[in-house]
Amino acid sequence: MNSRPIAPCQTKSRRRGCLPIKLSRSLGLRLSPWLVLALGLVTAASIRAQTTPAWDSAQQIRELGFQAQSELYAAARASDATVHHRAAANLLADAAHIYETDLQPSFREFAPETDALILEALARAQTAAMDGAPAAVAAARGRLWTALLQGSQALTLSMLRAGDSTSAAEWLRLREYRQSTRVSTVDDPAALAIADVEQHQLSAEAAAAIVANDLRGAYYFRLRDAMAQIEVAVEKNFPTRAAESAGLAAGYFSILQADMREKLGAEAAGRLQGSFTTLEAAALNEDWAAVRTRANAIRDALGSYQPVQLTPAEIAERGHLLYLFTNLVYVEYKDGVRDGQVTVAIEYQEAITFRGQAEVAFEELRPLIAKADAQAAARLEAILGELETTMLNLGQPQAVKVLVDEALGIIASTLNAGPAASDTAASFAILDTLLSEMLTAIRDGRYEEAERARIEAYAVFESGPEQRLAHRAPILSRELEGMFWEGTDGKPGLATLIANKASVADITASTDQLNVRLNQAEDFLSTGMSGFLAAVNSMIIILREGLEAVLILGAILGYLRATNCPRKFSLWVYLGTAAAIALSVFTWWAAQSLITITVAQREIIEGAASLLAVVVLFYVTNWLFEKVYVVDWIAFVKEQVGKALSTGSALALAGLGFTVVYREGFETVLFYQALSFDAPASWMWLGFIVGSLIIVAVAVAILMMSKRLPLKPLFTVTGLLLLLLAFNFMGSGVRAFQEAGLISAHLLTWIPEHLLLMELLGIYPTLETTLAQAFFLLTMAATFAYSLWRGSQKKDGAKQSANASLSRAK
Amino acid sequence: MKKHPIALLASSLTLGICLAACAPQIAPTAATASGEPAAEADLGAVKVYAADQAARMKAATAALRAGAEKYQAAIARIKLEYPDQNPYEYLWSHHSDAARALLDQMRADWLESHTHYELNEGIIAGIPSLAYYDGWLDAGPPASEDPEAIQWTLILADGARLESPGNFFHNLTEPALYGTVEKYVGLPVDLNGDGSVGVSEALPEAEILLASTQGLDMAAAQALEAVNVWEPTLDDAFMAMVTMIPTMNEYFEQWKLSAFVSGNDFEQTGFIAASRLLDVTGILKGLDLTYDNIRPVVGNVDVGLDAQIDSGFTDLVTYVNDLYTKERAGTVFSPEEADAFGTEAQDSASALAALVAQAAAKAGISLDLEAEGWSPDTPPIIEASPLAPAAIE
Repeated sequence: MNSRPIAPCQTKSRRRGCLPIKLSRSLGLRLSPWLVLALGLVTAASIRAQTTPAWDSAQQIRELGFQAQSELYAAARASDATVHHRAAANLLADAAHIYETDLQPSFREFAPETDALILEALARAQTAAMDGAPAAVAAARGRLWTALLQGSQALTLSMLRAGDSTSAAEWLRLREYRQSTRVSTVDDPAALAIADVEQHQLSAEAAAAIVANDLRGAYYFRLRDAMAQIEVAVEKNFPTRAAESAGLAAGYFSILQADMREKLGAEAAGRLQGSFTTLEAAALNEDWAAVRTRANAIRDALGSYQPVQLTPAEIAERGHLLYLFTNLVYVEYKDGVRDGQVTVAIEYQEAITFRGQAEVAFEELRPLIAKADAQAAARLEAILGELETTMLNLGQPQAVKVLVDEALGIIASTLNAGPAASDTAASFAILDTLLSEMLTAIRDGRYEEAERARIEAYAVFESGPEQRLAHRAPILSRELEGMFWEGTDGKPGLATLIANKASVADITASTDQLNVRLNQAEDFLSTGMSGFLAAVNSMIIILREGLEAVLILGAILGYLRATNCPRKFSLWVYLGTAAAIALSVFTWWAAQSLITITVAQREIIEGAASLLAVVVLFYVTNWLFEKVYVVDWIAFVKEQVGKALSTGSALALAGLGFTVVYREGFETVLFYQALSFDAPASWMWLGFIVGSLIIVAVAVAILMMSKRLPLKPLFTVTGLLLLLLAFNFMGSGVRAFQEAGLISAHLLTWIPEHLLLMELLGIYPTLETTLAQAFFLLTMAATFAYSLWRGSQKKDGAKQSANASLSRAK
Repeated sequence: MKKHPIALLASSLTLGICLAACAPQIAPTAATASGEPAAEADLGAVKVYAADQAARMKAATAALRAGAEKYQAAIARIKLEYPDQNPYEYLWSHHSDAARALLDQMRADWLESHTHYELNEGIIAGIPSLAYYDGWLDAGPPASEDPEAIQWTLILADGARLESPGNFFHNLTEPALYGTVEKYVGLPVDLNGDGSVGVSEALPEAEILLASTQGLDMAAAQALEAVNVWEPTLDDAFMAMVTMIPTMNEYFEQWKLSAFVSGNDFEQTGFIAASRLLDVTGILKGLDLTYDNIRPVVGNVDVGLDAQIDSGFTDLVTYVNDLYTKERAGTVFSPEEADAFGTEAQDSASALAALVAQAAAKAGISLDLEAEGWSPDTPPIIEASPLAPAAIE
């Protein structure tokens, strides 16, 4: 590369047409080409000196083209159409002049093919203008504008690769974008990449790849938009609009052609080129049947084209998002519509929103799906359309379910996407939507619907982000949970506020705070996890969950050993423990390959395991209490030696081992599942092994120490420990059922919501958990009292019989 | 997920020190504040402009309200004095000049208020703390069209209740004043005296006119108060532009379906008093003024981008102004032309919105397009309050 294009300036001043153009307009006549040339030469130096930015010149060319089009529209109303035809041709000549002066030198050198396209389009437009053919002018305008974009793209990439990032950045200003949506702005990764090159943070080659990717994405979007516009124009019988869109579509294809040749093959790209040419010709001839046929053929051929290279992670993320959004359409719709009536407006609106979002996700993934199965992609597109129609007509939920199920099947089979919680970004996107819908309901005074949206949002949070945050940022995780529910740091949470029908301002403020923290969580989770960190996290999980089980079992086993109970006692505990470990391993395998454990299922299993543990602990604690405080424990110990184990005690000990271990094992499975989304597998397993070894060491130490400890204090400590755990499990088990939605949650504001209370004692500020724990305490007190009374009766009996014996002896 | 006492105790005893040293990050810290280039922007000028337009709107709605009260009092008086007669027929046959003059005045007041609103719409509709008033005054659909419509109630003087009837300007007052909704028509009459009753020639139904104009005036007063207490920020300014600039397509579509393009085949019951193009020029003027006052912020970070945005505004404003000028001069555009104009405007607007979004990003301003806006705690209920019956003259 031995020369540079005219460097686009950075001046803020604009030149709206050079001297010959202004003259020709003011005089209302066309100056001779020679005069134009002469004037052009005279002004050339000054033009170069103030060099209009490329984007500005291109914009002027576009505006002049559109003015020419307007003249031809006006010609249809005028008595003398030729005046307007001439005016249109003059405007196009002005456009040609700007091109020749400002852009052609660069284009000719760096994008000669584009230069040829532009000159051809200008010539076609001028001829058509003189002929009074508005459709032909429109088609040529479409070609002209897209050729300018094509040239700018070529210049941007050339400059970038030549190491002139400043010029590349300027040329990049002449570009188009995807259209922004209601909830998203258009970002500009291309400009950011070039800026990074300027700051030596990115190589030119890497930046060029980003720029090319970004522009391809934008122009493919525009191509599809132009194809859609053709359909609308044909339907409304707007020939000029149809021709313009056909010209644009052909031009966007031209920009993407090289990439299509590479990805679809030269033959397919060649066929497409022919199709676009035929499409344009058919539009100009107003042969609508041919336009439709050709447009359909193009759409089919483009179905498998992927303009933007998505990374495997991006594909997985978008696939998951598509799955979730599609699934949520029916979930919301079935509650929102009944018998052709909107029964719950917020659910209906959410269903509509999620369908729209599914469509956006599908657009990006369509080529990938089509690549796997072209018919499946077409069917999925049709299903999304049918869903929209069905829902807008308030059709039966069953009809929506049939469509959604079919769509999910296609998504699962073509993208291998499912409802797994691995994609946190998708979960955050859905959280945004649900919280937004919640606030809409609050604003309208529909608190019950808002509560429903809040619970849904929490379910999404807990099924994805929370699992991953639990270990990497446990404080943030707990804080977020509090913000969804009762509150945190003395501030009421959303559940409290909605239950109290708080003001819109208060709930909005609380949601804003929640969103801030959710954004932080999203940022946090988007950062990767190093191997070392993964190993440490893994070790903490197994230690935390495992130590809990080991300490309980160690206490029981120690007790059994200390009292010299027969080995059968211990064996039953080991048996229950082994069964629980086996079931935990099976749960891990099943969760990985067979089933998906939903949030509700998880809470139900956790709740059931906790309450079962309460029953077993209740039994064991009473048993211990009775042995230690009611009967003569030394006699008991002696009595047990060599005595066979009763069936009831055996089952209780096995049950204790099983429930305590499986409760922790199940949680461990879930935690490791979440960790595996972020952590390198080898490091994760390393942490697991190290943690397991430490647990075994602790278990051995406890067992060894238990032999040396005095028995009665050991029993007392063990009993208290079990009692405390049972109390905790009672609260947290009921709480799990509340979170699964099986039990209602009525807030008790007088109970402080404190992390320590929740973690150590299972005390939550709800009526149901409090009643359950109170019931547990009362039952415990009653059974202990009964045991004491029985003990005193026994002692009295013993005394009486001793006295009787004494009397008899006397 | 639950953690239990034993685990906590054991963990701290067994591993506390060594794990504390190498524990993973527990919780991210709060985001750091972005750079604050607001000092160079003149947000005060934006506030002055918005407050001025809101005050002018309020003055015009008060005048419109007075006219509607006078009109309703006249109809009430006729009903009282001539209970067997159709009051509108009586009014038109005995006081046509006064009725026409009053209707003309009310329409002029409506146009005045609506024009000042449109000049402010780019700002009000684009800023979360004010956007509620856009929905209530000008843009919100009725519940019959959208289950998520703004909830509010209008109670007429005769006790009839309209639940979530849409916005004041285009769903209530305009159709009432211009007779485009049958139930809001008192009597179709030959207002212009050309011998036939054409589009928009009707005496309004007095009750709906009274209630809707009184409601409009109250809503305008609230909007004025909200604008007066509003403290504009750079976020607001960028948000307004990014939100409102890409809506050109929608406005041009409404223009295409309005009587200004579709003639008697119009599908829009609103946008008959003034061309939707006038609204577009107003919206763009407000946004252009906003950008002019924050230009230094963009110029500081990217001079070229600032020039491109400024040029984009100039082109778009000029383009729509030219179109409106031609329409006012008598050009009747065909639907296909309107479609082409709309697409061209939308293309320009899309590009401009993308540039403004980039400028915001470069200036360190993050835009939350999903930010929830302000809305009242309870849905408003507005009840008409008629004056004593009185003669029209």
